[in-house]
Parts: sequence; C-alpha cells; structure tokens
Amino acid sequence: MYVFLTGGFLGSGKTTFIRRWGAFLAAQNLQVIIIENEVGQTGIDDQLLSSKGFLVREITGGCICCQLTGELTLAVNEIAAGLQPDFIVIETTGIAKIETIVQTLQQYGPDLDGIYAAVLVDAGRWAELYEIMPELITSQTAAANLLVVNKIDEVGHSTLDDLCAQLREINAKADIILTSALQGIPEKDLRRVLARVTGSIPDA
Amino acid sequence: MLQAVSRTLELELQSPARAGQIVSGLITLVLQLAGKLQVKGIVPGHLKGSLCAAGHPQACVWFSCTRPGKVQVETSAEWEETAELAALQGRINVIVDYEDPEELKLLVEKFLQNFRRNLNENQA
Repeated sequence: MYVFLTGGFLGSGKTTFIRRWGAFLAAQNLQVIIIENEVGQTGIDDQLLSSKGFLVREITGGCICCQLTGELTLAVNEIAAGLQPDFIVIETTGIAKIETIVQTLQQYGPDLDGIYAAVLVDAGRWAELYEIMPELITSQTAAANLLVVNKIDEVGHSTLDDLCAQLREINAKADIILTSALQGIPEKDLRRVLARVTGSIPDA
Repeated sequence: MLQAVSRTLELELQSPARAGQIVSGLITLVLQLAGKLQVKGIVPGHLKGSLCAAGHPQACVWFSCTRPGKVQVETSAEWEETAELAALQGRINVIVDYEDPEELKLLVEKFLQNFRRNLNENQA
C-alpha cells in the first residue's frame, strides 16, 4: 500500500488534481481511498469527491501535520487493517507542512510500500504568495517529490520559465509537471508519476 | 496571519427560486467578498463552499475563488439549473491571510446575511 500525499497552498488545485489522479489509478484497477483534511470545521471537498464516486474519509477542524496527527495515524492504520487499498491518497490542508506528515506516518503508520508527496503550485498566484508567506510556500515546495505547476493557462511563457527556475532553486530533485488540472492532465504525465511512486523508474 | 471561518447554512425560501438564479446571486456575493479580502490582486487563501438542495444531498453546486473577478463553479450531475428549489443547505469555508479574525467573521456573516436577504427579496 502506498500513501500519496497531495499538498500545496490553499486553492492551488489539490482537489482537482486528486480527481484526475484518482480516476487514473482506478482505470489501472488500483483501489484508492482518499483521506480529506480541511482546516475548516465543515468539509466541502469530501462532498465533491464523494459525488464523483470516490471513497473518502474526512478529517476536519484542524491540520494533520500538527493538531490532528492522532486522527491521521488512526485513519491510515484503520484503512491498512481493513480495506487495504493499493493507494491512500491524502489531501492535506493548504497550510500543511508535508515533512511533518511524512515523519508521523513513518513513526506511527503501518508498513507501507512508500510515501510520495506531490505539491501543487498555483502558477497564477505564485509570485504574490511567495511574497506574502515565503516560509510556508518554500517549506511545501522543498518537501515535494513531485511539483505540479497548476493553472498554467493563467500565466505567460516567460513567467512560467521564471517560476520553474525558482522552484528548481528550492527543490532541485522533484519532478515537475506543468498542467491546468481543470482541463485535464495528460495520461503520459500520470503514467510517469505512477512509475515514480511504485519505483519502476527511479527518482530523478 | 491565516484565519479560518467555517459556516453552515440552512435556508428555507419564502417561495421556490430557480437554481440558476440562486447560483448567479451566490457568485456575485463571492466576488464581492473576494474583493474585500484581496491582497496584491489575489485572495491570499481560499474561499470555497457548497450549496445542496435540501433533502437531495446529491444535487449540489460547489464554488471556489482564489482571485477577485473569478469564481470556479462546479455542479453535480443531479443539479439542474432550471429546478425550482424551496430549501437549501450550504457550507462555506474562508481561509485567508487576514489580520483581524473578528472582522473576518463579521465579513462572512455579512456575506451569509446578504445571500439570505437577496434570495428572499428577489422573490418578493
């Protein structure tokens, strides 16, 4: 069983990405359960994902990287002991620090085939968000195995080139996908991600 | 500092309103709220929510806003623009970089009040 963490700032497109990724995994006959974490007391994305046919467990009212680490390990251990899907896809809150979630799962989670972290980057708001909250944005970016640069339709080529150069400075090891997840993600990109996660092609 | 305000909403209309009209009114108010929360031309966070027909939890519309002037709207297959709805259940999560948490709560409450008022006034 693999844990696939999906992080990135608020509104960067995590839920949309998960819909594409989850549908792709299901099409490969891989069973997926989604853990949906929201800072707010009321879940909204879980409602949307459930309506698309996904199995979703929600953890609301705080962040699984800090206040709700117990709920996270409980959920993952229960899923591992029960349904044993091929993938647990976790949507973190937009303010989560990915590395602390990885540490929690490594310490208290079940035996896993791997933990992989994708971080969504909002191309259209990157410059402003980086200026407003550089520490959080840098921390999320640095912790990724995969950077999904999303909403590329909102920026020009030169902005995108600058953004990728900046991402490379923060995290030189992560794979980078450029996409507009709302319009769909090319299957070749999703296949490459799956190969990376399962180790059939080695990390960059 | 990032602040989160979540609210749920149960709304009974004085008389049924068309689903498409309800969504149009909602978008207008979301854009107004985004304008109040914007910093450097973006929403430094996320405004999102859902509305479902009461008693029909599969008939829903979701909205998401990360910059003034733009709201992403998605509907479930069961949501029909021409349906006449008499009662709604809603949820809203506002998580933004905002200095004063109490002021943010007031803005969200005002948003909900306006939504209720507009729906009922448009029917009057």
